[in-house]
Amino acid sequence: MLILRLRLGALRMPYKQVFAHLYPQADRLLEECVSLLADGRLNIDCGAAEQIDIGLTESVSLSKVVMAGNRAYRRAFSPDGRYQLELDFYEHSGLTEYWLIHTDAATGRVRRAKLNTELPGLSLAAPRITIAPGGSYFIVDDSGVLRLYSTAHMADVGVFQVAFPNTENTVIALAATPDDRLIVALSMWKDIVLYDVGQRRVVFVRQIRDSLGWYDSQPAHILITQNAEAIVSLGVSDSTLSINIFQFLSLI
Amino acid sequence: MKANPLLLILIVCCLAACGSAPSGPVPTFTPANNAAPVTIMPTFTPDAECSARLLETWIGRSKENTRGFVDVMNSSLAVSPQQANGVVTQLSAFRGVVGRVTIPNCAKDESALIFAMMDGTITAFGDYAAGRKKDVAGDVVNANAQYSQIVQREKQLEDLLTIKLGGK
Repeated sequence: MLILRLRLGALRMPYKQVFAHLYPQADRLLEECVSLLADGRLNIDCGAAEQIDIGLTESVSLSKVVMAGNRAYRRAFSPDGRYQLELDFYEHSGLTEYWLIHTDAATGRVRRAKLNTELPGLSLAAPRITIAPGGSYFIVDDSGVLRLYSTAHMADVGVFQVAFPNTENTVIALAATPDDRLIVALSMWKDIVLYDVGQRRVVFVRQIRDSLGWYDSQPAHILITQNAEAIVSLGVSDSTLSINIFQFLSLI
Repeated sequence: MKANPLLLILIVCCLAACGSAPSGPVPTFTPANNAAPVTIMPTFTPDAECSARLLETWIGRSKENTRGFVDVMNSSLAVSPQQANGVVTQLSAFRGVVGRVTIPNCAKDESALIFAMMDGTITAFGDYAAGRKKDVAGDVVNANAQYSQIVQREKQLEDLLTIKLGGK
C-alpha cells in the first residue's frame, strides 16, 4: 500500500486505459456486469463474457456504490443509527436555499450548515446526501462539488468537484472503498475523479473518450478495486452501454 | 613480661611511616594526545533562526492556509474559464496570507514547496481564464501530488516543534 501511495504521488497520470467497449444495452443491472475473479482478473459480462488482466494476482474487495442515477438522496444515517444528516430547504425571493441538518440522537445535539447550492424554485437537481460504506463520513453532492463531513462531529474532512454547477451535468455514480479511504465519481459529462480521503487529495481525473454523447443520468455505475489498482466505469447513452477500464500504471 | 599496647601502636605507626615507596608503576590518568577538549556549555543557547515561537506560528498559518488553498483548488476542477478568475482571487488570498508569515530557517524547504505549488496553480487557473489553457485538471492533480510532499514536511516540522517545546 505504501508503494502504491508513493507511486500515486510520483506520477501525474498514473493510469492507462486497458479496456473500452460498447454494448447494446441488455436488461441486466449494470452492477451485475462486473465482478472480480479469484485470480484477480476482472470479469465483464454484459453480453459476451471477457476477462481483463488488471495486474492483480488474487481477488480483493471492490468499492461499494453509495449514490447512483438521479434519485433523490435526502437523508443518511450512520451504521449504528446514532447520527443522521438530512437535507432541508427554505424558499424566499424566488430562490431555494439548501441546509444540512446533523442530528446526534444520543445527545439531541443539532448542527446546521448552509450549502452553496441555490436554485430558482424547487428543483429536482437539489443536493443529495449519502454515507461512506464504513460509515466514517457523510458525502454531500452540492451541485457537483462533493463535500465530506465526519459522521460524529460533522467536521469537514474533504471536498472536490466532479460536475459543473448550473448545467445539466451531475454526478451519476459514486463509489467508495469499504475502508472509506478512496472515493471515485463519474459525471454525466463522462469525467472520472478519484479522491484519497486520508490524504485529502485528488489523485486522478480523466474524461472518458468514447463515441457516445453525454451519458444518461441513469443507469450508471462506477467501481474501484481495494487500492485503486483499477477503475471501471459503466455509462449508458442512446441505449448503448460503454464500459471503460483504467489500470494503475506501474513504472517501478 | 607484658607488652604495653601503647608502645606496640607506636612501633607499628613508625614502621608504616618509614616504609619504602612501591616498586610497581603507579596508575595515573594521562589524557590521549588526540582527545578533543570537552567544553560544557554553561547555558542553553536557543536557535534564533528557528525558535519555537517562529516555528509554531509558521506551522499554524501555513498549514491552515495551504489546506484552504487545496480545498478551493479541488473544488474548482470543473469551473468554466469565466469562473476561473474568481478562483484565482481566492487562491491568491491564501497565497498572500502565507507569504506574510515569517519563515523560520528550518522551514525554508517546506515554504519553497508550498510557494511552488501555489504559484504553479494560480498561474494555471490564470492561463485557463485567459484562454491559454484548455483545462486545469492535470495541473490540479499535479498540485495535489506536491501537497502530499508538503504534508510530509509539515509532520517533520511538527515533530521538531514538539522537541523544541520539550515534549517527546
